[in-house]
Amino acid sequence: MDLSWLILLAGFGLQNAIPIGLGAQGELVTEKSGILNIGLYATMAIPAFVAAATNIALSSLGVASAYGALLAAMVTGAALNFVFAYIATKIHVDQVIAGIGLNIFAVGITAVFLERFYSVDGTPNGHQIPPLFSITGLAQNVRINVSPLMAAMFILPVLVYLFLSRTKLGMHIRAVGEDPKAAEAAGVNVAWVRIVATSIGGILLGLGGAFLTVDFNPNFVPDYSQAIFPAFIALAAVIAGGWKPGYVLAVSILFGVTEALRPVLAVSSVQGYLFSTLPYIVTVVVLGIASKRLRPPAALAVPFKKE
Amino acid sequence: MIETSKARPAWILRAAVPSLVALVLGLVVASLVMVAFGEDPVTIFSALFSGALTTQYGQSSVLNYMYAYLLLALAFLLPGKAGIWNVGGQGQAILGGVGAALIMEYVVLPPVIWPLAAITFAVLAGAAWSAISGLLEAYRNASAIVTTIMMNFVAANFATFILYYVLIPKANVLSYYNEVNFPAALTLPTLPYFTSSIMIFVAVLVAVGAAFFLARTTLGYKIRATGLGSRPAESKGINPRSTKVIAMIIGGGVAGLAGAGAVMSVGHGCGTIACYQDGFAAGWFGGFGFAGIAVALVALNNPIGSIFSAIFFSVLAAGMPYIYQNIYVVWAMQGIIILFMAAPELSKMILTLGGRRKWT
Repeated sequence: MDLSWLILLAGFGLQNAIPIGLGAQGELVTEKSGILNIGLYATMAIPAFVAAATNIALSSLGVASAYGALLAAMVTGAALNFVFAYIATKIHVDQVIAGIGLNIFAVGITAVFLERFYSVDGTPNGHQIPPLFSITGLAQNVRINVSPLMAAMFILPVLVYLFLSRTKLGMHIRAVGEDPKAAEAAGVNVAWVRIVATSIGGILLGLGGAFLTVDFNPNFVPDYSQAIFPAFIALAAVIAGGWKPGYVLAVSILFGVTEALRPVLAVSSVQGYLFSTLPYIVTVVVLGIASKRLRPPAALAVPFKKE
Repeated sequence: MIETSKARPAWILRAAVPSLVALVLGLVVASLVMVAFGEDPVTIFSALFSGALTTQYGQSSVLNYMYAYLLLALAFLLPGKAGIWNVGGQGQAILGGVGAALIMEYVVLPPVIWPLAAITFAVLAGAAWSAISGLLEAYRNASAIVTTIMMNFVAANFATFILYYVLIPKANVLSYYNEVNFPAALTLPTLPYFTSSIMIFVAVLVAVGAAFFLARTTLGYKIRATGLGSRPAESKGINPRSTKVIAMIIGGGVAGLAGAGAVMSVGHGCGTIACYQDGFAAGWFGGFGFAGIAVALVALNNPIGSIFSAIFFSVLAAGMPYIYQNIYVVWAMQGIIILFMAAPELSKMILTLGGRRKWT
């Protein structure tokens, strides 16, 4: 029996899972502090564009430009989320409205810059991140490249778990996400802890976005339907994973594999559209069935105003 | 986000000030971006406004954008009045379009009844789609913000599936544009002179109806009371859960109506990459749902105000092809305007800085 399709499924699935997994860990850190960042599409797409642009601008440096691009994406992601969290906590902009605004802004601004500086169809190619190693010989003509970002996807949940449960800042983040009033009474600066947590989340979201424009493909293509950057799948993974880093990783991989079913099983692209709905349906069903048992941060999406 | 409306003219004018400030700030930021690109904003905006307002194509395009923007704004603000976030107008409109298309393709009815049946089915499809999120929020405590976003993606993929798997094979057409043409008996009447359908009148009527509904009917009162808080609503003998679900269903129905309009209007010429004339194309509503949210927010969730902010955004969108190859500059501006709208304190700060008395 030919099992090469299973290996393909795993390979493609893991690759699809990388931007979901990285972004989801970022959104997890953000949500743990009580901020619901609906604007996470913007925090993936804009850094992805910045990464592609950096990659092209530095291309004379060789492959180093790709790493520079990742760095630029992480800085951009942190900066965007910093602005988002700052206006949400300090200027008291509604989190949901600000998130929607940022998402619409992201689609528009990346398209504007693309048209102005490159082409409406996308940027030219830059350097690609070289894989750490490749797995061959599992099946005929199958070669799975393990990128550094795939390794990051597996290591991150451990780091996020340790960060949230063992460090002082991590404990403050959970405290302001559960009971901001009590945290403030204990001397924690709620607004700034939330801003820092959201910015950390932005680093990871930016990295997830950059995967698509530096590693998976070394270019940026416009995303008018908001479907290429799997930001909302990452949001779904955080919920379906019950706000636990390990589960969130598992769900991210599961969603990545679902996306791989279509190409691997050579399902006609038509029926594949139904497979593409699975992550979203799973999340709605999980919310419907288990919403009473899920433990979201108690103060999620609840603004906090100092008295 | 819930405003109680006091229908005194002076109050309305004052209430519109933050909206105008946000719109002006959005235009200023967009102009600054253009200046940074080495372009002249005055030339660009005059080309935009003359393109949208003085050409027949531009004017028709304004009307075509406007009905969709206005209906999707109402789809957001009606549930919003009950304190439930409908970010899913997009998906509900898509489902409405699918519903209308299926009736047009599979059922044969007498002339006038046929299109009416298609519209009714579209409204029901949109309402059913939103009811899922409404029920989950009201009875399972699952945030509608999240479920409506998820349902948008389910709807988009489902519509594409229906288009390729059901409608195109049924119509036996393999169009280059992936569109399905419907019998002429089914298309909505076209306005004289313009190449747009009567949907604009429908949309304005729905907006006026929504204002009346919210202000003067018992259900409208219940919806507004629920929006002010579940506890106070309960103390008035209102069931906040079922009221939220009903508000959500009404919103979804209005979005479904927009979807029917998109499918059944001939020659909408809306100018987006995914928008094809004379037919149903998946993705037609790419972004319309979110633009509708922008329209509603700028109008401070006021149905009548939405008519005016829909005009503003429609002119921007319709004029954009006269300057740029794609219309996504509008999206960038919409995003900025939403951010300013969401920060009433920011507008107040700017007004105060302008040397006026503190704006409250």
